Formats: sequence, structure tokens, C-alpha cells
Amino acid sequence: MAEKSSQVGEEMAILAFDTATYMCSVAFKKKEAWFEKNHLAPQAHMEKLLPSVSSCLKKAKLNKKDIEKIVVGLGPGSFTGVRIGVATARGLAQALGVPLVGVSTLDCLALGCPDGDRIIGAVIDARRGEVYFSFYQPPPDFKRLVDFSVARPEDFCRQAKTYKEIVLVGDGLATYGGLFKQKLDKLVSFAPKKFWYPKAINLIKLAEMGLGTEKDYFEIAPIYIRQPIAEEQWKKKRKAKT
Amino acid sequence: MSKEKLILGIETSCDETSAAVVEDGRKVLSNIVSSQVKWHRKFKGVVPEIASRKHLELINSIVEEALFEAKTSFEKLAAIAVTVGPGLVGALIIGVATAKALAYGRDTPLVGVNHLEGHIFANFLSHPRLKPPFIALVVSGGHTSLVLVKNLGNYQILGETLDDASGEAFDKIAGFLELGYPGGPLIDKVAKDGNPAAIPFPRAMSSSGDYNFSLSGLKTAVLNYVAKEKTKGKKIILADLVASFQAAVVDVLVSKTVGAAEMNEVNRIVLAGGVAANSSLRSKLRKEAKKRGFEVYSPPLALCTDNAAMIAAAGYWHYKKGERLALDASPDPNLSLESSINFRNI
Repeated sequence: MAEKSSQVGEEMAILAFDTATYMCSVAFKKKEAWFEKNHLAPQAHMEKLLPSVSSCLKKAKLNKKDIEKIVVGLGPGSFTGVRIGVATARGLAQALGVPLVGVSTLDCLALGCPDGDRIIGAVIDARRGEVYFSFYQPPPDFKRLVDFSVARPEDFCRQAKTYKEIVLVGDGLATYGGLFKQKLDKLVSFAPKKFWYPKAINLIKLAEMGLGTEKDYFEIAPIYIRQPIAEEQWKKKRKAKT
Repeated sequence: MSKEKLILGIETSCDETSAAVVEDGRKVLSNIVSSQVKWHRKFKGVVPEIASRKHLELINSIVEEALFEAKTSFEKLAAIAVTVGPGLVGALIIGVATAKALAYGRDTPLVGVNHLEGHIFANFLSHPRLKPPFIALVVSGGHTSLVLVKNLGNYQILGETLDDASGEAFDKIAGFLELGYPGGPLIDKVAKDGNPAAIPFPRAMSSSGDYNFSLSGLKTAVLNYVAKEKTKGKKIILADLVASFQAAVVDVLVSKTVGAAEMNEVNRIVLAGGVAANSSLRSKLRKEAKKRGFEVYSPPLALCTDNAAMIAAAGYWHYKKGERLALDASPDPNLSLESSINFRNI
């Protein structure tokens, strides 16, 4: 009996997508079959996401009513990008009456990183001269080693140095690759470019590993890390006054 | 299936998260509006990033509440209507992404609605016999537009503000005078005890010969007046100052609106938008219109401010015409009343 129920779990039809970076990544899993559509769509997730979901389902010869679970990337990343993904996921979960699971985009990047036994640093360009990042123990004992942070790339390097050897992955490399090489030198290697953007397939894997958050769809929220700028400035001003 | 057509409206263009169910474009079954004012108050204005975050937090529960209060469910909806613009892009995105996902997930037709058209349609909810042609004055925190509505869906923008929207001017002056936020209702209240003729503030562009507005000069005039009186050591009578400022705004709005009706030979005037709740604007416009034999329509206060019932009402009309919003549609923060957003399904 127990075996059977776990099989049911694996056979579940799961839809996943991530729009926290320039990548619009959609994946669908049914039994052992995978379908995915990944394409770079800077500032175009509104246009691309649902058509992508629709074409992915068509490729799988499935109806949206066959979807049994949705997994969404929660960021951190572009505030607007993440919100498009989360709003779409929440709307779909509400319409279809299926459970919704949220997974961090940094976790997704790290799990997608190839390469053997080195510590993984997942790093996303956070704009305003900063990066979002975290560090991970590689599979088979995959786990996040520290909380998600946002910091200047130099501060990221300082933390990265505490690990002996490290492999970096994420679109932060596109912006700060040169700086990372310079500061970390022999300690660091970069994952091949094709792994620098999150793939929704890894969201499904993470959810199956129990590394997602399953909540009521209306409680699934982005991982922003940063406060709105206006809020930061207001707090600064207030601090200066007192 | 029943003959009545139920439309779910969704509105997130600024700082109200709203969902509503309207029957046949006329009967409001539910209209849930969650104002974000308390989160924006300390900034004396709407902070776009905070608005976007709050919309996402609330939207699905507000939709659920709207369906519940209307005693209906997704499968009974004829269509979903959503505000596509104009407005804050990050705020609009939440409504459009949610509406698209709901419509796709339930195979429900989806229609896009222009926010300003929604404000105009708020009048049809309260005045079933109202018919075009008419002149609409759309005044809110983000908009000041004078529109000739020749027919439903046929809009000609006669004039717009060249700088601040009227609601924005109220907010800025209220902020400057430390009356609080949002400024409109507070200024309206304080002005009731003041003399509107006490200070002769400029009536900007009142004789410009067109239907455009400019309000930033008036704001500067108020600031200069206060500074000047202070250096003279004179005490400022707040109620007089506020009443005089309000009168300057209202005078220009009313004279241009009435002028537009005369020029275009229509005898109906429609007020729409949040500033349409201003008591002085309402009474002055009625007075001037009456002199010329014009009728004035305005929505009840609850339908003046941003709400989804007005979006559902406008959406019903587009739905009946066979218009649909595409799955790849994006919001347009500068959407014009004169441009179309839906494609024809039939």
C-alpha cells in the first residue's frame, strides 16, 4: 500500500514556472515524462508566460484540468518578474482548485548546477549594484547552508571565501563574473553559461524533495528580501531625526 | 444556465484592490474594495512598489469574497473583466496576471477595460436611463480629462491636464498644509468653513481657448501666498486658504466642462472619478448646468472612487460585442480612451 501511494505521488501531473529573472521557464511533468519551454524574455513575462504554459500542455497532449499541482519560483529576483509568476500561479491554483507550492529561485539555480562535490554559490543580479545569493551543499545531500541575502558583490566574495572551493551559478555572473574571478581567483569556477538561468524542471524536483512551501494559494508570497526603496528611505530619515 | 450574464470585474490600477460581480452590466451583486490608504499615508502619496505588493497579497481573497457575497461561483460567470490601463504598471500587472490566469484556468472569456471608461460606466450603474451623447469630466488622483462620449465605446478626448491631476493637486496641497492624506476629502471638509473668495488664486488656462487644464501653477501660487503672508507676520486663516484653493480648481473644471457641452451641443454632463465626490465640484457644476438647462449625472460616492463594479459594467458591454482580451496581453500604463485593447471574437 505504501509503495502504491508513493507511486501516485510520482505520477502526479505537475506544472511549474519561474519568471524571477530574464528567463521565462515553464515545465510540466506527468509520470516520467517531462516537457519544458525555456526562453529568455526580458520584460516580457506578461506576454510569454501563459502562452508558454498553454503550449507546454499541448506538447504533453494534456488538458489544464489534468494539472494536479502547481510549483512556482518565488525569487528573489526582479520584483515585477516574480510577481507575474506568483500572481499567475495563484490565479491558476484558485481557478483549478489545486495545491500551490512555492520554491526559491536561488534554490532552483543551485539544484540545476552541474559539477561534482564543491559548494555551490547561487547568485542573481539584484540591480542597484548588489546581488542576491546563498550557498549550498551539492547533491546527494543538497541543502541550503545560509539564509538568502542581498549585498554588494564584494561582500558576496568575502563570504564565498570562507568555503574552500566553490562553483558559482546564476545571472550574477553575467554582470560580476570579472569581479568574482579577480577576488576569488583559484577558489572559484563558473558553471557553464547555459545553467545561469533557473529552469522550472528543478522547481518540480525541489518540490518533490520537500524543499518547497505548500500553503493555501492566497498565502504563497514572493521572497523579496529587500524592502521597497520608499520604505528604506523613510526609515533612514526617521533614524536621522531621532 | 440562467439568462442573466454575470461579469466578474477586477481592478488594481492604483491603490485599491477590488473585485465585483455585476449582473447584465447594471445590477451590482457585490463590490469589494480594499483601500491601501493606511500603507501609503506616511508617504503622503501612493508608493508604486508598496501598491504592487499589497495587490498581490490581497487580490485572490478579494475575488473569493466578491463571488461569495454575490452568492455565485466561477462556473456561473459569463466573463471576467479587468482594468488594463491607464494606471501604475506594477499595480495593473497584478490584476491582469490574475484575471488572465483565472480566465485561462476556467475557460472563461476575458475582456480588457480602460480604467477611465470604467469611471464613466459607473454612471450607468446608478442612472440606468442615461444615454450618450454626453460630456464626461473624469477627475481623480491620476486623471483630469474632458471627454466627449458620442456613443458607447466612441470617445473623443477634448482636453486633459498638462501637469498635475486634480486629485494629485488636492493631495499635494493637503500635504503641504499638513492636513493629512488623502487630501481630497480633508480639503473638502476644511473648505466648508472658509470663504472661497478670500484669496484670488489664478484660474489657470480658463481662457486658453482649449479644454486642457494646468494645476501645478496654482499649487505654486498657494505655496507663494503662504510664504509671503508668513514673512509679513500675518496669520493665515486655514479655512479661507483651503476654500480659495478649492474654488480655483473647481471654477476651471466647471467652466471648461460647461463650455465643452455648449460647444459640442450636448445637454448632458457626467461626472466621474474620485474627485467627483468633492461636494463643491458637484454643487457648482449643478448650478452652472442648471442655468443652461443641462442635466448633470454623478455616481454615488461609493462608485466615484476606484472600484471593480464599474469595470464589470464596462466589461459587460465589451463582452456583448464579442470582444476578448488575448492570452498574451499586457497592461498599458498610458492607455488612451481612444485606443482599443480587445480583439474581436465574432
